[in-house]
Amino acid sequence: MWRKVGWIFAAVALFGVVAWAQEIKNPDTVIWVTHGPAETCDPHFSYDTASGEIIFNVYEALVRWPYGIVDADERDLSYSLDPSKLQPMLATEWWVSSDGTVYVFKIRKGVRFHYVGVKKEDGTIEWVDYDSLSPEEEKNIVPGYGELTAEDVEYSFERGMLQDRDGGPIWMLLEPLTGYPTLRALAKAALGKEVKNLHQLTPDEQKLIYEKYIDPTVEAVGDDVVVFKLPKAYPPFITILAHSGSWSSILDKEWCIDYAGCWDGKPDTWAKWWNPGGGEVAKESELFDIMNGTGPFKLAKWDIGVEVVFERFEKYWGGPAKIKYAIIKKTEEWSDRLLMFQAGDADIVTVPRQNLPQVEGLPGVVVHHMLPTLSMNPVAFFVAPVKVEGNEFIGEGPWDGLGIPPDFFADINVRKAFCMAFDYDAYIEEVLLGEGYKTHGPIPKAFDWAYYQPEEELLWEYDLEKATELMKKARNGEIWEKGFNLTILYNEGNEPRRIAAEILEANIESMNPKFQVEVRAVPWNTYLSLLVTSKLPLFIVGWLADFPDPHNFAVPFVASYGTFSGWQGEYMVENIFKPYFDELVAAGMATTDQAERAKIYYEISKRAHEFAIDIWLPQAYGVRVVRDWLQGFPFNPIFPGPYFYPMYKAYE
Amino acid sequence: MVAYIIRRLLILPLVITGLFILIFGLYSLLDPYEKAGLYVRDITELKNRDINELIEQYGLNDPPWVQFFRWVSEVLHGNLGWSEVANRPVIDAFKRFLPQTVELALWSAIPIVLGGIWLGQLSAVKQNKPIDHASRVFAVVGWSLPTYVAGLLALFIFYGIFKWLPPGRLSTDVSLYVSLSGEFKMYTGIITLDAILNWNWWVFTDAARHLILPVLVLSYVSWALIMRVTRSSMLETLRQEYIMTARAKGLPEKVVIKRHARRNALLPVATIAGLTIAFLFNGLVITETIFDLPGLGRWAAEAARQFDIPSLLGYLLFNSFLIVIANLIVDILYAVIDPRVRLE
Repeated sequence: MWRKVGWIFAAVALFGVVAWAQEIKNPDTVIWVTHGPAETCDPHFSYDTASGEIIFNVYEALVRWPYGIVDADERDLSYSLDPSKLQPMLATEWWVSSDGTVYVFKIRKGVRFHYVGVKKEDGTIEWVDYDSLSPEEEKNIVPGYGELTAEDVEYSFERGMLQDRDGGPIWMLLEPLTGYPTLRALAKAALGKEVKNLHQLTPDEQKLIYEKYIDPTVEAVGDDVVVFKLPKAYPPFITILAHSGSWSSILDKEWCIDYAGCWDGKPDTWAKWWNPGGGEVAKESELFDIMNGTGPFKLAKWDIGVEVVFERFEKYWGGPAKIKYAIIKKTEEWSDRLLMFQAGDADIVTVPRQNLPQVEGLPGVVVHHMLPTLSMNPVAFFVAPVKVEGNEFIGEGPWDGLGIPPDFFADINVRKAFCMAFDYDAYIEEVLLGEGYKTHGPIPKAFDWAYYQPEEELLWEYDLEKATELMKKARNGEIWEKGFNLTILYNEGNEPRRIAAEILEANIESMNPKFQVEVRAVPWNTYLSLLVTSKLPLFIVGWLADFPDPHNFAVPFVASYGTFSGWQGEYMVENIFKPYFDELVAAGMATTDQAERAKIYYEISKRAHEFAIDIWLPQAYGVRVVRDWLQGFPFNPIFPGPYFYPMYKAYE
Repeated sequence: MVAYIIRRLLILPLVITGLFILIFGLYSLLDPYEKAGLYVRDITELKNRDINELIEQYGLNDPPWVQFFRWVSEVLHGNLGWSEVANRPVIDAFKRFLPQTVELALWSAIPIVLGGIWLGQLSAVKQNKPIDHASRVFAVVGWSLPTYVAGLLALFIFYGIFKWLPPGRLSTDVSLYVSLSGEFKMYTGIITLDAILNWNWWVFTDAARHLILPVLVLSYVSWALIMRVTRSSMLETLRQEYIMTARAKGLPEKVVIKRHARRNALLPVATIAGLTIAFLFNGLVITETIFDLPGLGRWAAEAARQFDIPSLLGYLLFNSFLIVIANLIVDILYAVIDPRVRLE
């Protein structure tokens, strides 16, 4: 009798366990638990990844990148970063002139924004949720109010260019469309005088700038055609237009003006809306926390730094999403993220690389490894000369073996020796847990058409013997004789940078007892201060792609005016970057012929190797960690974050 | 009494000024580029931005006293500045984060004070008996246990293994209901209180379920102090002659303890309890972080880490006010509990 009861209990318990394992929590909601707060919802202000993650799901661009699906059951990497494979989004067709200076887009018809303007009985216009309208009520929508037109596209780009907040993303529109990187630079050229504060421009000056430089760059022709005119060819322009995570998002002109209070569209008033919040206070822009896009989700709630809730747009032109809600939950503490994910309260989790072993093999969890990435992070940069005044990292007085001479890295033998003293395999094993690859220059491997092959010709090999020989030759043997004491700093908490520095420390010191390397952590703000004042002999930082084109990497790494190369000291700038790279970088933008451009980027990679300008540290593959019930997760390395539209939850 | 209260409140500006001078003194040690680190959290943010312009824009090169008086002038005009870490004005950050902190502090205060007193009394009455040893060990373990260890351990057991008590404020479905349905009205931002005002049992139980662990952890790590003060005070009181008189009169032991001993023993406890609750706000930094609760503590910790001066000063303003008020309340309570104490 008791045995029978025992069997029954066991069966019930087993059924319970199986049922529990199969139970999908929150079946119509996808939850991504991650960290890092978003700055804004304004696509023209946003230049951080976290904001891009929100904008990407609400707004849309003219064209989009094709994606593969990497989810619980599938690993389809058939994405593309090739501009010729771009797909229609809010534009159905497009043409580019043979000289690459005119782009014509045909706008999709019948597309509505999330909120539309309806006329009330008293004649005023009220903005209402388009989903809430019955077919009968839809007849009251004021023409153009919430309906996508070519005018909206023109307004969106013009608003972006005229807003141009300091430190924002708009250089990507201004540079190709006007030839100037900022509105200030454009104003200077247009007015023949420097105006730092464009709020002070007179209406006439504003009108001149708008009518002569901004308005002609993008024009609506009729209801459904938009034409972009560039002063000269800018090969990556179409890839810039494909970014709906920020600068190329399409807004509704009428909603922006009538509801949000954005630029009123007049040629002589725009300065009032220029550089909101001094480029820093995001709240000062009108679209800081309100959104009205054409995308598959509406912004339902943005609790800054806590969570973002998206609600399905039922009348989305591409058909409604399968899930009703998507949530981005910001949880800084890794243990919380892990436990929420384990409990099924999250479907996607952001995992620090060192914590990956904690999720591997967990029941109900799928980990995808070795996913392509589009960044160069980290890279170690040599500085020559280092600033001497007040610099505690190079020693005092004339160099006597203590500290380093300010132009320590001006000697190519030293730079090459450092490149060869880095144990690339050890870094891949220790830091990237085996999930990394070596690379040879500023052009990421993801650009297979521009990445030089065979790569072995340009990859630095870890070879301490050769490195020692080079150090003996450096400065005619002086360095080998006197020795040196080099300090490598990293920003505290950044483990990959610490380990990279320690690998160098161990290997450099093993060459000669007179070689001393000290690795030290400093707070981020101290690191930044030392970096921008050229006090660090060697700095380790990284770069993420703005748009998928090698040009976006060539400039910061090898142009004399680049973000990083510009900090590498006068010697490096004057003797290497200016004479050997600037022309090549310009040539890469002078032609739209991909084969020709590829040759230019091959040459840039070769010269980067020849002059040993940086240590190209191994790069990490991407990882994706999801619950086994999550399906339809799109993948393209240029996406700022998850695109929720194709996702759903089911066991298949 | 009123004069006493006014006198004590007048201390507030002095305390605040001292704290601000201290913070600005430390701040002045940073160079302008280090100060700019608050606005450039990632190096790629300098892609198209001159850091020197940023320094000029925010006056980071100005002498500290200039920056100090600029800030004071703004405060006097009702503007506490922009919180870079919260991405909103400091005043808005308070509005957003205070309810969560108050909720946690309120719910924790009850078990901390009552539990500590009960444990202390139990320990004193059963002095040197097993229950005394056990309760002392129990409380001292809590006192010795760092909050983050206790919190993580509790979270691992009650959420990781048993899936009973999740972190955060609300479950997903309840959170969606509260924020999107339009049926739930937020009166105070304190979810449990709002749930009661909305007469919504479902939301209340869910919010309460999310509060159990942080409240327990905060209570456990705070009990030892109140317990020990109560215990020693109780022991001292129990040795007084009037207690012997009460016993000699033949009063039952329960009455002796409750009416005669405990009331007198609670005098020093009132001071400790008052300050414990005030300092609880500081202790919430770790608890809020571990249990994923968006409160003032978590915000202040992040502000300190990034040297977000407007946020830090705003938080200090609030904290100083809180501590001074807590001290005042304790003093007043003292007078109420013990008529011998005269504040005048």
